Amino acid sequence: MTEPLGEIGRFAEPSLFILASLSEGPKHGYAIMADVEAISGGHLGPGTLYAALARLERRGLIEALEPEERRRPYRLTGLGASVLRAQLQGLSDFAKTGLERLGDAR
Amino acid sequence: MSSLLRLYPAAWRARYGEEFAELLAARAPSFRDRLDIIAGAVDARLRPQVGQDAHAHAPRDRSASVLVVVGGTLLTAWSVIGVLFVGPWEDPAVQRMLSASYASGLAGSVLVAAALLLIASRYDWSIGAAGAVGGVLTGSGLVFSSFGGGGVALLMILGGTVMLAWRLRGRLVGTVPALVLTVTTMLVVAAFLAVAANSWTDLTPFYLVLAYGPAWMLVGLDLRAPVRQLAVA
Repeated sequence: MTEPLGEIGRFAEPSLFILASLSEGPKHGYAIMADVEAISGGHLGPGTLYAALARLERRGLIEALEPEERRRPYRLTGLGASVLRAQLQGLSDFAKTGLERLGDAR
Repeated sequence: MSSLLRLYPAAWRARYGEEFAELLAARAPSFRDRLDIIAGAVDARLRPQVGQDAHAHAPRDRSASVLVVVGGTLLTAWSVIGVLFVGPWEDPAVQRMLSASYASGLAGSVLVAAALLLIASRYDWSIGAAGAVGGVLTGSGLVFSSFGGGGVALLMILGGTVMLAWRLRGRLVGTVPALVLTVTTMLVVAAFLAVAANSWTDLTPFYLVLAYGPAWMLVGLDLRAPVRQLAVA
């Protein structure tokens, strides 16, 4: 399950944020960018956003909806939701183990 | 801003250009954003995700590819041994080589059939029902032909391959391997029919069979995971 994002290479991290952003509902490019910057606390450039969107769309993790004027919303697919869940679960397990070890070391 | 957009390939602009321009209009890009857009354009050219070039850069499907290449190699061995060691049929050495040829052909057919089943189950969303049915027909026809399927098996292989190659082209393999497989299959079926028509007295047309295994090897070497793309509205 982690493979679809693993093969995305350096776009794996922005892709994970994009999937997390779309998990609350469809959004267009600008809204995704603003939301990702809010939840990550970092900067997301337009070039990186669309490089990640193209990869996610091609792998069937997100899909484009009908354009609203000149903006096209994207939504998470069933596969995208499964991949996101597996990724977040993996991160959660990793965080739990890391925190437990930190606690043991103290 | 159109100057930055022009850095992207045409296929990318056709798919994302309008919404990308809208995004840049909504948030004027900073210097850092401009550098990010240039990097994005370079990425879109080096690793295309949309358009015709996307297929050539698609990841390979290793398991299906290995099955087809090994299957094609065994089918090549089947035809080479079969053509080299034709008659005298009663010679035990010739009989041994023909048994080896038969075993190689059967193993090659089973491997190619397994690969086609794998492709039909994995990528039916890309190649459609026609492609999946074509793959199953071709695979079962190949195995059936090893067990004396005769004309029916040949028809299954011919019809199945035409449907399969038509649906694989541009999705899982390039145009050239798809075309080579189709034409080779037609020639091989014609060769079998010609040899059968002359009651196996003139085996010359049988030399065409030599091209069949290599055609599958060519397809196997080019097999890629299909690109999942939505139609651009």
